[in-house]
Amino acid sequence: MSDDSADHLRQLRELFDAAMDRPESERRAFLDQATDWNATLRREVDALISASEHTDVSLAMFDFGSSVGPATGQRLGAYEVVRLVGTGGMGAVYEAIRADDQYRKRVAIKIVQGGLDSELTLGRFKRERQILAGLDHPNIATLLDGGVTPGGQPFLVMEFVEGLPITTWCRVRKLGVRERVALYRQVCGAVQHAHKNLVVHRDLKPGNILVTEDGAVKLLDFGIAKLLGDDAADDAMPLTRGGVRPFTPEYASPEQVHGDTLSTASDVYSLGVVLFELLAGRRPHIFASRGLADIERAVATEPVPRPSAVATESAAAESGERSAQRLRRRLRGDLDQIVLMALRREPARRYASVDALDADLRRYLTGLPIAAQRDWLGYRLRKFVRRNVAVVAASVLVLLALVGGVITTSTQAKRARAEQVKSERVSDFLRGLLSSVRPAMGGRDVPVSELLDAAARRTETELAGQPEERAELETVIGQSYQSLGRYDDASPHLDTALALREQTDGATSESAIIGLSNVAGLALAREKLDRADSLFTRALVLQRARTSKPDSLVAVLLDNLGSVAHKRGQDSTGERLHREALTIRRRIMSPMDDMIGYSLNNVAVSLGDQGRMAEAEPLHREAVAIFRHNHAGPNPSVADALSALATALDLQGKNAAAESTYIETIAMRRQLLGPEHPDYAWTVFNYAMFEFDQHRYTEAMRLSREVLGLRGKTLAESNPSIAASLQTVGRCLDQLGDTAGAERSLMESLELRKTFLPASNWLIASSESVLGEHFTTAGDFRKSEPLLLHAQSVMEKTFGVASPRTQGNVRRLVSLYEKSRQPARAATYRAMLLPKSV
Amino acid sequence: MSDDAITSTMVAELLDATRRGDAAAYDRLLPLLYSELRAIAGRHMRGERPDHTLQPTALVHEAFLRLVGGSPVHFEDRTHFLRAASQAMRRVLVDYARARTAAKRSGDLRVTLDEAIAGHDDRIVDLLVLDDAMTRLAAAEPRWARVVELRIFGGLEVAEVAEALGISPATAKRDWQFAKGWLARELGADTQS
Repeated sequence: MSDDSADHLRQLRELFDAAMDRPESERRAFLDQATDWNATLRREVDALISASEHTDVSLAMFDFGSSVGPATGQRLGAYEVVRLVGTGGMGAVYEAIRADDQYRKRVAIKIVQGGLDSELTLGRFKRERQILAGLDHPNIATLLDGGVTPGGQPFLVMEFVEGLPITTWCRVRKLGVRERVALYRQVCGAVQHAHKNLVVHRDLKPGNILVTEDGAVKLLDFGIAKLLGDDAADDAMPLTRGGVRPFTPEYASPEQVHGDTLSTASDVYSLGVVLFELLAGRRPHIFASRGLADIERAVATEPVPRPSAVATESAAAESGERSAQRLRRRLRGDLDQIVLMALRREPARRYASVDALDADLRRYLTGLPIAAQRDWLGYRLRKFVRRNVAVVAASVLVLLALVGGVITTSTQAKRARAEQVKSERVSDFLRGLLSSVRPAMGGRDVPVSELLDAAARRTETELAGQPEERAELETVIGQSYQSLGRYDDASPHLDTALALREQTDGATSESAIIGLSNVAGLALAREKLDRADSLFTRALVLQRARTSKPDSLVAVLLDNLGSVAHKRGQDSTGERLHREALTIRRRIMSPMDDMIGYSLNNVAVSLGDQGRMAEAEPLHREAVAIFRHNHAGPNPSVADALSALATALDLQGKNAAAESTYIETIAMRRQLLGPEHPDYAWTVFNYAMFEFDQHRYTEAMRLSREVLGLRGKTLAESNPSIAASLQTVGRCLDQLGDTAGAERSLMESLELRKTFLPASNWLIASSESVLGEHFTTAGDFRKSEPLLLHAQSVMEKTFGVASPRTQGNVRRLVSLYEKSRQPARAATYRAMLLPKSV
Repeated sequence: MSDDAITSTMVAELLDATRRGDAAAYDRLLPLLYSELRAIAGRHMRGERPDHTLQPTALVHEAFLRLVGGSPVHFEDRTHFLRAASQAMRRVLVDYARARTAAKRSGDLRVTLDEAIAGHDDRIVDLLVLDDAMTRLAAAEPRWARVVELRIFGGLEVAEVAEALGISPATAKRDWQFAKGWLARELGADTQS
């Protein structure tokens, strides 16, 4: 006991007294003065006052409970009690021996205090016990037996486990961070096994995760909390005891604290807390007291800190690091992200499964990029896009370029550490920004674009002395503007980021090349294809000069050049570039990596655009398989890949398979994105086209109108699916005999495309072609001819004569001239038709 | 004279002596209280009594009745008794907590229904933390710790605390507010072991 501490206490008391003597309204001002603006002291006094008013300390907090149980030597069924091992509020644990067994097997018997009083409850107890007994896994302590004591108390017989709680074990053995993660993965495997058998643990914590002498993990009490706690509690067990629900608050998920429904996601959360503790030496939340109110408040409102931000000195010593600093550096980045993803407040935003958490830990251990993404801006951005939608890229390819860019930054293993420190600072800045805006907006959700504007104004001044951080942030701001479609705003930020990187790292550095690639990406988004082409090519040349090995940045640049080619209609060039990227990725990534899936999709789409659907199909299928392997349940990547597969099947005329794939995609996207999301609308649109091709015009029209219902809501006028759906509606109406209605729709579609697309774009030609066909059918040949001829020249220029798209238009020209009785012209165009597409 | 009667006479005499300011009498009183409280608390924890939870007030009153039951006791002695009993009570409970924690450690054995459901172990640690925090509180000002002791381990109301310590109710109240605020924070911050 140091005098310092006593003096400090006396000082606190003086301030406390003086503050309490004043009316509440004056305390703030008084304390500002009295603490001499010492923020730490001030916080301490504030907390003291608040705690003195809102908490109570009494012996009830230290509930000793009591237990009534069998004495040593007593028989319980086939078991003979040896000794009492421990007691608690709800029961007692005994060591026992199977008395009729020649091996004298040691078991642990748990007796529930209170007893179960209804037949119904006993029946359920038995059923659930059977489920648990079937949980056969080397890392799960087996439930052997169960029964009811003569006094009516249910008991469970478990495998007897001698071991230490995982936290203690790691401490005693001084395991390093990587060894801890490796050990922890055994826990994940066991929990995942239980989840597959539909058993949720509900009370995961170090006390239930033991490690035996030989280093094997054993999980205790699987499903016991449910068996004992849940509904059974209504009948027999007190739900609260001394104000505490039957779970361990330190490891309980928010939904558990609130008394909401529990799921496997709740176990993911508790596992996250255990991992946090294993890594940082403390738990994410510190409760003012163990009262339910304090726990609820902390779990519901306090942000979870990054493990690296709070790792303790003793945790460092116990994991063989020389200082807390070193430990923190080791945790920063991947491990922080993994833990935070497991600990997200909303169950749906955590890892979708324990497997997914485990997979990220495996990737961390093998140095691969992890799937957990930083949460700050991205989530707000996604939410924003979901509700307001300014611009959402219609083509998967464009999205890929962005994703590729992000991944690249994080895969460069050597630079990773420095990168992470940098991005930490950047995200701190953003976090500060988010919190500074929120109160002023009076609680309403701040539009992302306002946040970006605020960030844009502040970066230059606040990060003036930190060019690297500023470059990072300028990139984020620029790319965010870009995804919102505010290209003019995006441009200066990406340019600045590039210039800063050239200054700090040199023009041929990798960071500058990534900066260059970002500038090029914006040009691509703006459809400035020549500029995008030359910038991407320059970046590619620079990066190839840096390394001759297979390189992920080279792959990203190739993909982007492929996208440029695709936009120009140069499908075979696009295919070649995407294939090159795929080859590189296959050499440097694990075969089931998500990036391989994206890459396969790129190649497949470029094949599809050449009409080579049969070749595209297996690639789409492989992509679907990869994403399904990595993501259980509904998942955006799976949905994207399914959507592409559906199209490929559709265009091959594999109608049954196409239809079921469309339906699965639609259901998944609706579940993931809601019925107003543009990507959902896009699938519906495709399905409408499919229905049209099946001659089910009424259904096709209904689907198209569903898409058009989002017009002006989540789909901007400029969204390609609006014009496309109008076109489908027009064609349906033509088939259903409503010529006037058809004409209105088709005209409108064409006008929209003319408004939003460059004059030479082939989609305008496509609209003209369809409208031309309409006029041919209606016998209005004078209107038809110029449309079809114009479409023909654009398509020939864009795709060449042989392309299916051009061929379609040629057929329409033939039909026009046949119907208008101009056989010579009809013959000219008929000669252009290729045999296979007739 | 039965053993009980001897004890109760001794306790009454010791209390009388403490009232007259005999500090040594207080020191001799404590072990008597300690062993008595221990016996009572032990019965509670083994579940030999119908009310399963440990109520400090009940325990202390039971001890009072057992220890001085038959003897005439001055009114002031009662407050002296309560002071001593509260202190003894703290020691009893802390000793129980220590013993249980030690048992867990030496056995390397954790089969944990109790923890699974009630987080029992954490509570025991809390009690030791509370004890430690109170020691620090006493180092700054012994009176603060006495107030806490009487409130928490003796189960006394603030007014009774004031009476037992011979201080004004306002001071007792402020002492309690301050101490519990500080303790709540210390307990919260130190629950990770």
